[in-house]
Amino acid sequence: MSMTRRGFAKAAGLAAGAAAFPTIIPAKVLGQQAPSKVLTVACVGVGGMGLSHLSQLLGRDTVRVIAVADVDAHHQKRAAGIIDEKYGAKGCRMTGDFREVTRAKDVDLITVATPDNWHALTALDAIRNGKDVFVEKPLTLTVREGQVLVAELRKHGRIGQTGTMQRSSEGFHRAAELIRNGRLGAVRHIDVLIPANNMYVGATWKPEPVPEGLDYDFWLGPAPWAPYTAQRTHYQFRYILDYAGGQTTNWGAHYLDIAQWALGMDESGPVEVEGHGVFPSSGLFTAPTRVDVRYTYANGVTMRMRTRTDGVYDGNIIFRGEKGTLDVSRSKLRSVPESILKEEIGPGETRLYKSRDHFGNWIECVKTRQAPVSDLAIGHKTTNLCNIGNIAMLLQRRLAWDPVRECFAGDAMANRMLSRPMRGPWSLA
Amino acid sequence: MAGKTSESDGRRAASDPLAGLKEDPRYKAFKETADPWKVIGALEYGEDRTMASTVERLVLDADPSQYPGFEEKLLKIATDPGCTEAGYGFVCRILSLIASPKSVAALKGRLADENEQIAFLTRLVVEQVPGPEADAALSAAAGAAKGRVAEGLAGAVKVRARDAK
Repeated sequence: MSMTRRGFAKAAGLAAGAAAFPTIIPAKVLGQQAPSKVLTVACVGVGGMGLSHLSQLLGRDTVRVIAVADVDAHHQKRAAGIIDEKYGAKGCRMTGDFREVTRAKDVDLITVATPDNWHALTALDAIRNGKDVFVEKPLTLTVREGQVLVAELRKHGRIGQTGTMQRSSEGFHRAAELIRNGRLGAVRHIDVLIPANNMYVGATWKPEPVPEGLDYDFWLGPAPWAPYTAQRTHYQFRYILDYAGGQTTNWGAHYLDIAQWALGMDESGPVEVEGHGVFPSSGLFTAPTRVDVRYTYANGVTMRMRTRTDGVYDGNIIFRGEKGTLDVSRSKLRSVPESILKEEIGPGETRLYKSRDHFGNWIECVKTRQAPVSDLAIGHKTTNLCNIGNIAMLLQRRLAWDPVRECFAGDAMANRMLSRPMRGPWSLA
Repeated sequence: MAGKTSESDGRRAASDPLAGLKEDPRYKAFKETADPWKVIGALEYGEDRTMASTVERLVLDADPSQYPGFEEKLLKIATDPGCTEAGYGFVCRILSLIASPKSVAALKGRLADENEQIAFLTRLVVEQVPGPEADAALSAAAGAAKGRVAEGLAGAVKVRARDAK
């Protein structure tokens, strides 16, 4: 089941689409704040993470997924099949070119679960075409991409949620709220552990034929061209710095985000970063195999993010304060002394944004036009920590970071790493 | 993966880009190769890139006073007619970190190269160089190039103009 551009455009018309799919009038026609309106969604990137997005969306009667975009035709068909089966109707639209959904008039919302080097470009096109967006973490590949994305989000008045879903988890919310209300006293140091990185796959690799159904040049997008080899693409892309930032950004985006939240640094960040990671000197993968980054905030709080060595595939964050420690991950919330966790947040104390459903919060905010719990501006600041962490590890020296101007002081080479040229026709312009 | 990583203490600094190399065990492979720069220029896609990583490490660790020396050595490989596309890619990525207007002058003719990959790899270098020389080179190439090479160059010109404000 393939679809040409012309076919897709035809299907995007309301009348044409009605033949197979029930007519869903996009909310923008009637006003997104109308509570009874069903929002139409197109999912861009429907590989592993994109299927997770689908599972979050398909059970809701407030939204209807009407299209998918993916450069892999197999992914398109698999996702469309799931959607059609769920709705009991045929006609979920498919395309290999995301612009056919970001620019479609009958789409209200766009979710982005592509490889990282596509996050900013896809979200920008959606925002500039009047769509609200849910963008997977890490939000962007570079600091500059994040700056442009946030500026355009505000300029166009769109709603954007970053996929840092730990903010919608009770344990992380509770931990951050306790810390913000001084239950640990002054926080002195934070330890962040993230899962192990890419495996060593040999000093050499061989170019392979591009599999049928994959638009490989489009997959590469703004990144430099390189021959196809299977480990370059699906999932493993995250270990190649042309497309992603390794576990520094993959897991760092989740756990550094909790640190920023607990410290009240959502609009700022550390003022110094130092890295001592290890990078493979040969082979396909280029992301650090061992992450070790130290951050220092202006108030003296220090944070160290390292690769964990116990084989556990989860992150972990331990806040160390004057009055005790608080250890939180997806599977646990512990404190020393234990009494800290029994404390209540009283009237008049700081209450943090409460969400228990990350996608639901985004959809609700689309209707109310309020900022979601992981607004793209927050996701951008967290992603900055990830990206400057990788830069510091590459440079293996201490760097002074200006978290407001978002540049390094006195290091021209480090500042060159804050942005990357994009292969045509792609551009942040 | 022992022996396949490189680490640095970031303390190298000298006007000679290769100063200290002889005593530094991190650059063993580089020292043991007769002409390591030539090896980089001959690399094909997928081949062992240890030598390129070693040079990258040298450049990442270098003091800014060493950049002109490295730039000259890298440009020599980049402009060698025998340099492979993959080798050119490694050189351009490293060069992009330290390139000056000297690199713009040496490489600007390739910004509109008919080989799309070469054209973009060249832009990796030129687009990272601040100043009017790179602005002019990108604008001129945008007018001369075709297809998506031209689109990429035009985008670069717009982004630089916006970022300069």
